[in-house]
Amino acid sequence: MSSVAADHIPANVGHDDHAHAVPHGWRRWLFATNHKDIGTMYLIFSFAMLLEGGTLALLLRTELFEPGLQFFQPELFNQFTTMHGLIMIFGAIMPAFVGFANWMIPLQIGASDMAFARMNNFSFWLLPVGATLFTVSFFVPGGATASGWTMYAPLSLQMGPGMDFAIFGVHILGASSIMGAINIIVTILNMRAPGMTLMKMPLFCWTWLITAYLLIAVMPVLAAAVTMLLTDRHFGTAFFNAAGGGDPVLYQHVFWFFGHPEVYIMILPAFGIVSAIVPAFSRKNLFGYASMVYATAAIAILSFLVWAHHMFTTGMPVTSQLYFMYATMLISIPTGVKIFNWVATMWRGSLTFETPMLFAIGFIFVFTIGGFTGLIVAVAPIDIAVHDTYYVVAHFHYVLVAGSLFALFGGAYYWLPKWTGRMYDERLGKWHFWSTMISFNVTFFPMHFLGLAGMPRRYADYAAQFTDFHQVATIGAFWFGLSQLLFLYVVLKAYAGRGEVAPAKPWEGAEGLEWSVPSPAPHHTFTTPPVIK
Amino acid sequence: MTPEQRRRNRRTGLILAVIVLAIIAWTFVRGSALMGS
Repeated sequence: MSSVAADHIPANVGHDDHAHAVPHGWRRWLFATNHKDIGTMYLIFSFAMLLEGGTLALLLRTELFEPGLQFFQPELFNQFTTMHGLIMIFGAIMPAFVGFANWMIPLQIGASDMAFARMNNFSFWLLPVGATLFTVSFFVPGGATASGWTMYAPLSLQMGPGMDFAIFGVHILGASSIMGAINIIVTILNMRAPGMTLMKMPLFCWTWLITAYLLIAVMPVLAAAVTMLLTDRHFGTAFFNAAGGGDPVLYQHVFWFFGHPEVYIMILPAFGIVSAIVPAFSRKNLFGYASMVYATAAIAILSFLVWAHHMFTTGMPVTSQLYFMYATMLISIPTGVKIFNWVATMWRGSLTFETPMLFAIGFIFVFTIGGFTGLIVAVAPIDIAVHDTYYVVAHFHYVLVAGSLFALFGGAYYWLPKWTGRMYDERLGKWHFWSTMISFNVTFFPMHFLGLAGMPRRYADYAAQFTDFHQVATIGAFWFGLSQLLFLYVVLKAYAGRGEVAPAKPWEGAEGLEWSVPSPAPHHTFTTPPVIK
Repeated sequence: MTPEQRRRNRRTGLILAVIVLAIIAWTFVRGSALMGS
């Protein structure tokens, strides 16, 4: 990041709470328009969804501990699989990043709040509605949808009413994301403090700006796709119904035109968080700030051009396979630029290893493994062999858990002093990191071998030869799940005001406007914009 | 927030909302066209 120094922080910054009273009680939250309150609600909501989605994952792992059917019938198992994916993606990871955006973007660009404060409130309150639709769909006749989070036709056309709940849930959560994205774009473009040029913005703002454009471009495609599913199911159209002249493969094209950029929607803000943490604990400026911005934009553009690498087994022409294979491999170049820049930032830095830095380094290490397996499955002949196996499950969990979730944890520890005014318990934070890091690998590393040996995903039962690796993965999953309760305890402890009082800038090497306001950040900040040199 | 900033925000937000609606419509139109092919 280019270094940013506020020329003049007005005296009232952080001390202007008397000007606008802080609302109290339930009204403060229900009618919240303050970006920090809404950010907090997003983060709490997403953690609750992480626990719900995680519980579903543990139910899956319980069933898979041994071959044969012990606890759940395959139909229910597939419902768990589907809802685990939908809840984690639309309920946990995406809202968590929007929570970070709400909290940090106005603070980092010197804005008093988000551009559309009331729409911000509406975006948030749509989330519990969507999540409720997902959750209650288990209790409708036939149960929740069991079509997988991708909701492929024709299976999704044949599901019971649980499918309609999922479609409405996706609509509502998608609408929330679109409104959040519009808010973020407008805030960043129009509300930066004087002197805060785009190329002076912290990288977290840049990654979110590009992510928000991705959301604007692809969320409507998903909305249209699931609406077409709905009309096929209930209104006699045949977009994806072969019996009526439609084409199920068309659904896959439309879905993955959304789905692949969606992967980057869940990882680009993580890159932004890591790009804040690594320089802070290396006590150096970020290496190659401009190239980081261009690499982020390049990843976003390329993400539109590679969707059919998810569909190599649909029988596409070899020339198309070659195109999508090479285009996918191209993404490794800007991604490699990022990895290189983080390592170069650490090179000869004055490194310390507080919990946020541990998560950032852990992120770089395990995300790179996920990136490499991504390159492997990009190779069409290999993908055809490992398609729909546990190899793919391992790959995307290395990207989304070790990628997105590790960065979220790192960011939470990094900014927790700013949010709560208290330092978290460093010893417990480090325990959380190591426990999470080890258990994550215990859970997901064996899945590579399961996939290579031919274990298909979304199966409740399996041949006895897969038992050992499944048992290791199940033990790891429970260990991983329990480790997250430690995180909850650390955060609650800081929120309860137990722990050292945090100064305005608790990290020696941290840079940016957010550290110029007191900790905890006052209810209103930057009512008079700072001037950036 | 100044009234000018408010106006600018509203204008940018509306442009983005129109883009969203246009993409939804485009997906339907393309979907319908491909359905018949």
